[in-house]
Amino acid sequence: MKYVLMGLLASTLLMTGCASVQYGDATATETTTIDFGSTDLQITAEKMVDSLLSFPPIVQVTATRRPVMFVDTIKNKSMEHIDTESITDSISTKVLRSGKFRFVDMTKVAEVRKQLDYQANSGMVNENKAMQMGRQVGAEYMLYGNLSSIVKRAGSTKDVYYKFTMKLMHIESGVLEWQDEKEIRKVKKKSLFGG
Amino acid sequence: MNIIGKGLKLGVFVFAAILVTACQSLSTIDSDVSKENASQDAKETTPVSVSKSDHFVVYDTSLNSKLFVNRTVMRPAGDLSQGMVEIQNRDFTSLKMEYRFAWYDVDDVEIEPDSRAWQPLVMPANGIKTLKTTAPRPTAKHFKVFVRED
Repeated sequence: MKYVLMGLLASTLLMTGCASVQYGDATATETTTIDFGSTDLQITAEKMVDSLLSFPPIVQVTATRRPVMFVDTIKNKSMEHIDTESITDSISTKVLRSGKFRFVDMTKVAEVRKQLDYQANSGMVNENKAMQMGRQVGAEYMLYGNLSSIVKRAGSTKDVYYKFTMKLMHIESGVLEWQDEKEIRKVKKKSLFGG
Repeated sequence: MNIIGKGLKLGVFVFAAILVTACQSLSTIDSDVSKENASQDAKETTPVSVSKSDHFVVYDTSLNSKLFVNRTVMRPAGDLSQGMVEIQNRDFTSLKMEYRFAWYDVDDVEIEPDSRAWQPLVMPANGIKTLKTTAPRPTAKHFKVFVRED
């Protein structure tokens, strides 16, 4: 009984004693699993923004002014749970910081309306300094896209192909001004020993 | 009974030895990793060599002898700049590597250093690939592409 207890204690130590946590480089390539990861998100956002900002008609449009853009959610058509809002955020951050476009945030419409209502009707805000209703700028372009994947397995090999497509539409005319896609292929081979 | 007891005692000792050995080897791995990270950091601050172009920085000596820059181009796209580097693997085996673009302003300060990630790249034997980048802002004056082994 004594030896069994010692054995249990030793195995508990084995499982808990060797764990360690350390900070890593957020820009380093991450291949922990075959699933859509941080590197895929970063390279997708980088490719899309580089492509959009260097596309000649877009270069022409943004040469003298900063058009207003609205970013729609990216549709996840893959079988995997992927936070597409995070991809959208990375793309809109890079585009906004380039100084070429301005954005309207449709996720905050209710909060903005509440604040404008408070400024106009609460009696708490100086009328001369209150922001006025009906003066927002309408978006000229809509950025949207989708992410799809094809997963194949053969024996111990798993092949995942991701295709991220993004489009920019001129809202008034309905014309697609820009479109591009990023493809990513990842292959996982399961070894006989280990993972 | 005495033999069973001795056997059990021996088993516990062996297990404890494995436990200690396992932890030692893990800590060895950890220290190796930290050494590797330290050397990688050193590589990042002092590249092993700068290849034929000022735009192209290779961290690994072994890669430097296999990878060649065919041409580099920097051209305007409106008030932004666009960079392009055509590289060639002159080895008979494929190369697994990573690259990362960086853009610098007029004072040679990197613009938004954390915004560009290392990207995986597989270069087939004798293959040619073109890496492209667009400046994040109009203030970007020149770029570099860093390459290291995966």
